[in-house]
Amino acid sequence: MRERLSTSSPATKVLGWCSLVALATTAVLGLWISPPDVIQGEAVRPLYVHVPAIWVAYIAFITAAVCSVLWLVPRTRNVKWDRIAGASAEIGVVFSGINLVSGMLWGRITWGVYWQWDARLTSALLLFVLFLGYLAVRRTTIEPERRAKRAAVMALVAAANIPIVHFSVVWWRTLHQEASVIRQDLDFELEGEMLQALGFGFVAFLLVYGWAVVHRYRLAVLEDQAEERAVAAAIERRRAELVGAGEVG
Amino acid sequence: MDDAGFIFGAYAVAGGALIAYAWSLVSRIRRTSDELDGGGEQSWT
Repeated sequence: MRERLSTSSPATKVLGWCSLVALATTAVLGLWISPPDVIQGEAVRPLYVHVPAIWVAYIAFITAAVCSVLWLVPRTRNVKWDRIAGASAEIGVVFSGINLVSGMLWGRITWGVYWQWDARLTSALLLFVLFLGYLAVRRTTIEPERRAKRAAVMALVAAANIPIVHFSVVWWRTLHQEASVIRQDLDFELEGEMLQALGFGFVAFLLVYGWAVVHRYRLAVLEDQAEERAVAAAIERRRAELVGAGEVG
Repeated sequence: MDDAGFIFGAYAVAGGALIAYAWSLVSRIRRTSDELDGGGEQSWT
């Protein structure tokens, strides 16, 4: 009998509840407790979602890239690295999507338009699309080892875009503002309730990321088992057909 | 839509996307697990 995997364990239940509380706290801090910005006014509020979302997306994509390297190196190759890479990238795409949509809403208030083909926005969209491509590669129906290899290479190509996204506001003249949370001397630009709201947003998204990676990993284990069973059943069926046709002894 | 709509919209999109994704993960785990246990097959008898 196959070991049945639960959708939760005591640890992930605690993690899940902590995530929900942290998300709710972020909403309260971001929408009501933090003060309006001196320059942006109320328009600063979407940034408590927008900025943490891209930070967690970076973490998710870098994790996917590191696990892909661990899978590619023969000495460390293990199916768990491929599964973690896939899980992390999928969640990264969700956070990257949140970053793009919340940024568009912020842009509509601040710039008067949802979208501009500026270096930061374009490179962030490219990062999102590259990792969508990565997820598409993972869904191809080829032999699992070849699929994992192609996906790992794709993850590295896609992750190479992260520094371009991050430094685009420094390297090119962009409509998007420059780094405004941590200065180049690594000191915080924000303080007080604004820093609290941003910090809570980051912690909340990080908790959600942790919860989702565990669950997506469990799903990957189950999907692999289902795929193995489907292949075994197909071989058995084919063998039975050949036996019926008298081609196999 | 006024500014408040865009501001609340950003939070609604983020919260909605994360909850929908979490829900889909749990559903997919249950469905795949049931399929592996043969729970996906249905019969009158």
